[in-house]
Amino acid sequence: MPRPITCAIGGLVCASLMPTGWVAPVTSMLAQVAWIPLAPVAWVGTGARHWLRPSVPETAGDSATLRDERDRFRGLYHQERSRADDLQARLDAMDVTVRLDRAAGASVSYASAKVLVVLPRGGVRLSVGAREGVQPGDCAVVRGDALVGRIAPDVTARQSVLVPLTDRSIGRLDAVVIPEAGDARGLVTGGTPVQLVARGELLVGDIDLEAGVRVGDIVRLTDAAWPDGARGMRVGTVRDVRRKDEQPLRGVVEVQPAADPARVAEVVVKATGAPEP
Amino acid sequence: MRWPLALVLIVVATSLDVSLAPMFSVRGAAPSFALPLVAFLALLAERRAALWAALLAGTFADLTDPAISGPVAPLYLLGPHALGLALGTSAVIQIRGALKKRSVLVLVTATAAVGLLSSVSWTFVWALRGWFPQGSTPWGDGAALGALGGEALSTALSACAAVPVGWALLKLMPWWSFPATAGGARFAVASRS
Repeated sequence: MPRPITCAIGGLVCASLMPTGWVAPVTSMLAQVAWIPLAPVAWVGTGARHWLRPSVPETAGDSATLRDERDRFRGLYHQERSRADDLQARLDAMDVTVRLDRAAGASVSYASAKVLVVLPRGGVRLSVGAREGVQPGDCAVVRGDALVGRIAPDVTARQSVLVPLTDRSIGRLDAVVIPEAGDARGLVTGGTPVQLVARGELLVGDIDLEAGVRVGDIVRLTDAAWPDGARGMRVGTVRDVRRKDEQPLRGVVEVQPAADPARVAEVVVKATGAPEP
Repeated sequence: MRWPLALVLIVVATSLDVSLAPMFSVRGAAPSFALPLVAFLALLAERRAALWAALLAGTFADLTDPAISGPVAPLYLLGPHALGLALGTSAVIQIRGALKKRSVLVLVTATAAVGLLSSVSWTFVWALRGWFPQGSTPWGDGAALGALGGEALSTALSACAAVPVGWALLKLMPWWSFPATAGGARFAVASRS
């Protein structure tokens, strides 16, 4: 039979290696019990400590001032952090866009624009205009390559209107459907061409069913009528592919636009004009 | 060994550890008054009594010193101090035959030995727990060696505290009724001569 001291040591080894969730409730209770005999002497000891080394009393005024200062600096910290995050996001978006255009050899300048107001017909008013080199027909992107829309003809010195891809005034869009896996590897050639038109919140187009277009495939712009900087940008993602009743070998593809201008706070306009001094 | 006296002194020493000792803290490390007491008993009490006293003092230390503060805390973990003090006591018992037991200097040395072994044991147990899934340690993102350094500093301060504590404990010698040991006998002979 093991000796009690051996059992006690074994028990302590087990207790010290038990998961926190098991041991914490029991030891918390034991700690409260252990404090009962210790409390009287501890009270005397604490009194002696305070008598030997009195703590500096903190006035109510000092405390309130310190709390106010703390709250003020905490607020400033969060404010600056939010601003830094915002700047970082803009920088990242701009960086991706610039790299894509450099790779494509497009000569454009970039204007970071805030969405000032969402217009009743789905367009948005932007905070950039001719002064930043924005011209009618320029395109706007978010997140590097997600095409949002095109700048409407009425560009003022400081403002412009962005027309979304789903607006009927945009007309037909020449695009190419790229399998999701191929797009991830950067293979933008060899896709299935498609002409898209706006229908409600979506873009739709006829497609050859044999081409193997699937839900989730990426649609990229190839339209020559758009500026250089817009070509190759992401129009959206295939949401549905279905057979046409009147032409059984053809299908209809529905594309969910990559970005909704009414839901973005900031876009990058690829300006083709020269900024005004 | 008279257990009532030992129990009272363990309670008093632990109480002073949590109340008075922080006044003497250096760089966050405070001395322990229980540590010299455990070392004193390791030098003079019977083996079994000394080990039980070490376990008891260690258990009190574990239950009064929450090792982790924060979202999972306070976590009182039974074992690290108790096992460490038992280990230290066991080591002192092995060599006490060769020591002049009723000397404050020997008590200071024994306190340092018990404290260092206890520190190593404490760090080892917590380091083991740190390897558990979602395990946390008292040193958080810091290094275990840093925590061990803090414990070693606390041991050094405890060794300093062993001077007045040892003097007081030696004054209580007639009350302890320790068994006559070889060292004790030598001391008695030397005193008579």
